[in-house]
Amino acid sequence: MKKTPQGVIYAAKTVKYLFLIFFTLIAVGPILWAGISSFKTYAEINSSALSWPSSFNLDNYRAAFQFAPIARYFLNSVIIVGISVLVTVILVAMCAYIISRFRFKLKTLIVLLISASLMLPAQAISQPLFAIFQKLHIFDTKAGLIIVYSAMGIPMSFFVMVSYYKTISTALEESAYIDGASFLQTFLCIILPLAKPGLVTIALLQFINTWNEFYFALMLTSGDSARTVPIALNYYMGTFANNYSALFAAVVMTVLPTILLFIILQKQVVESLTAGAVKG
Amino acid sequence: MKKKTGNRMLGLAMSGLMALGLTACGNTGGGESAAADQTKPEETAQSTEASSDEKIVLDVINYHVGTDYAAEYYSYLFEAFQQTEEGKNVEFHFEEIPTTDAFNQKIKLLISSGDLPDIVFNGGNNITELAAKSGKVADLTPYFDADPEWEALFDETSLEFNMVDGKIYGVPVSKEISYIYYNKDLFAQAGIEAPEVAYADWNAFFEACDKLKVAGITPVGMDTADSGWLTNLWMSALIGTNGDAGNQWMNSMYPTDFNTPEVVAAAETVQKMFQEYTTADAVGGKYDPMATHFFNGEVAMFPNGPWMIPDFSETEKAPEGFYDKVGIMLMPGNGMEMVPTPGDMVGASEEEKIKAAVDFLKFETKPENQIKALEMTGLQPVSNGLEIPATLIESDPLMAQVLEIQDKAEVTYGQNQAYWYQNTIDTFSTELPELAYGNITPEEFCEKLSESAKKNQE
Repeated sequence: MKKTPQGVIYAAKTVKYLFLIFFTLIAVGPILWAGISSFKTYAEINSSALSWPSSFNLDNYRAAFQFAPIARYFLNSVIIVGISVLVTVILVAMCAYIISRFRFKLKTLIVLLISASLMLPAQAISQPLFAIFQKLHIFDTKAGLIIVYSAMGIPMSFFVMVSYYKTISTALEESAYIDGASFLQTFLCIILPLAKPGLVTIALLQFINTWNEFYFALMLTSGDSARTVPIALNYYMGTFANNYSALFAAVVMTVLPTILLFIILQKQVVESLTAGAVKG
Repeated sequence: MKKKTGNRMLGLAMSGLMALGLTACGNTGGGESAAADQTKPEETAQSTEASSDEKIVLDVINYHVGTDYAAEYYSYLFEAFQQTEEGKNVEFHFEEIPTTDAFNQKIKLLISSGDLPDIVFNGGNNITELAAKSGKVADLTPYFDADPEWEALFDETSLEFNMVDGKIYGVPVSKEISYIYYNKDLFAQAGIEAPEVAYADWNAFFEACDKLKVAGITPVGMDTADSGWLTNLWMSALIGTNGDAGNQWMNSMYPTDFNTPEVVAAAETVQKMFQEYTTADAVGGKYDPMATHFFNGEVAMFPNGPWMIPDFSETEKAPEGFYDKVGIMLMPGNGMEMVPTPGDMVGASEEEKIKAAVDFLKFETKPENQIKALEMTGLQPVSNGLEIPATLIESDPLMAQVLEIQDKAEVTYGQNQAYWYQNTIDTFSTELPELAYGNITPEEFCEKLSESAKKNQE
């Protein structure tokens, strides 16, 4: 067998790394750009998008706190998004398992209804939701937003989890039943641990969607007690007076949790996305 | 069979667990709501009313918050009103909605649900007709009739603009005007003397642009993104100053035929301006970077309104001393964009609250507050002939010059964001790059605007 010349190996490696650097820059570039811009003045931001800030100080971060109740809204976001993720994951984990494993009457109708809810535009349901929330006294409460966000997240998460459960062999459950495990034990001790990557994926999707949700956070609240981070970002974009410096600082502070969460959970997410890819 | 029954029971149990999850969520909410309810309008109203029997609580949705140009002024206005005889028993309960876009989204929902605040600000988009036809805002005509002194503060055009079916629903608080700012240093550098009021016509204007170009200076600021505000002002001026036909067209609401000689000619000139007289980033660019070009002395002329004046002395945005370099002129042919603004409305239904809200609107439009608004925000007084205080001439000579120069306007006209259909404004913004690059002709550009406008009548 002819040996590949050393030069070719180096060239291939160089191309590979250049390729990787290029895509890393595309992915990380906007975040880095926002990070760098968060130290620039208004004039520096508007003069040149790619220039370096004249100094690195925390003035813009201080201004971000001064213009908007960002700390309060951040805390609200953590509570609302955290609980809605939990609710969605718990409900979908159970519901998708039943749908993927059992045959029963009205199953098609249930799946159809869940699919249909995917197609409802937010604007179409905002008016009835507004009226219902006022009647139920959950308008302008965290509970109200948690319910809406959980309901919004269920359809997409449901389909992800149904597909994921289908990749888990039924032989495992049959073995568990033969060994005397109950239905609940099988679900909790056999299926759920195997479905962990899928659950992490839906949790992450739900987190990203709800963390960035603006429309319902605006429509279904009226005070600081339940408003979330995306509304806080609007405080820096007034009529004829945008404060991009403070906006970038606020953006950096608010996207950090999402990025950190993805870094922590990336192994499970990648596992989930590739699950079944090599199964026959 | 036994297994089937077992599965069913387990299925039921799981459904129960799901329901439990929901209930738990509801409980969490209940707990939360107890705290959150403290800030709800109704509860706040009750608690405030309980603490002081005579207090009238007015709900207000305020979009003048955060970095909004008028945030400081409105904060002053609400506080100052409470110091007056009429306002001493009034308390405000605010809902803050930053940005007019978000405000308009919410207010439209509240109009349809009938839950309007007691004082309804008109945020950019004209919602007067929508609110009036919903029957959720008060007819203010009797209050104007009962107070001729107050009514006399407004001209006929401003009041008519806020009428629906012959009744006044909105109290106009300002006028929108725009003209040209120019950089005196750049003009001197190019050896041009700026006109005292305006260039006699567009030929004279473009002659000056050519001289600026020869001196290596970009003549005008333009943009295409975010509705293409600056280009809209140029185009409105080109149409509005083009004879009676053009002026009449630019003063009509919701036009649907853009293939008129005046509009096509304006589109042709705008195309030329993009290709010869503006910055390279104007195509695809938005207002802020273009304003920075002007602040940095990279562009000689910039169309805009008086609300831009405070930025000239804000060192965060413009270099120190920039304010003194700026001059003002009207559009060629002594033209000026001037549109009445949609006024603030009253959404309260109880007589006592309506009266308190009207009192606030009267306070807002008092001559001294119109001047205060001018000083603090650049909002042009809605009343004509207000006395310009000597302090303003000293502290803000540019603003005083604006008040002076607007009386010299011989031709006034509207602008697209006030008079065109929303989808036509969007088409204008999205098709401008095509026009600028010469991918479509001015006639095709106008045809697209006509098509878009006519969709509203189908």
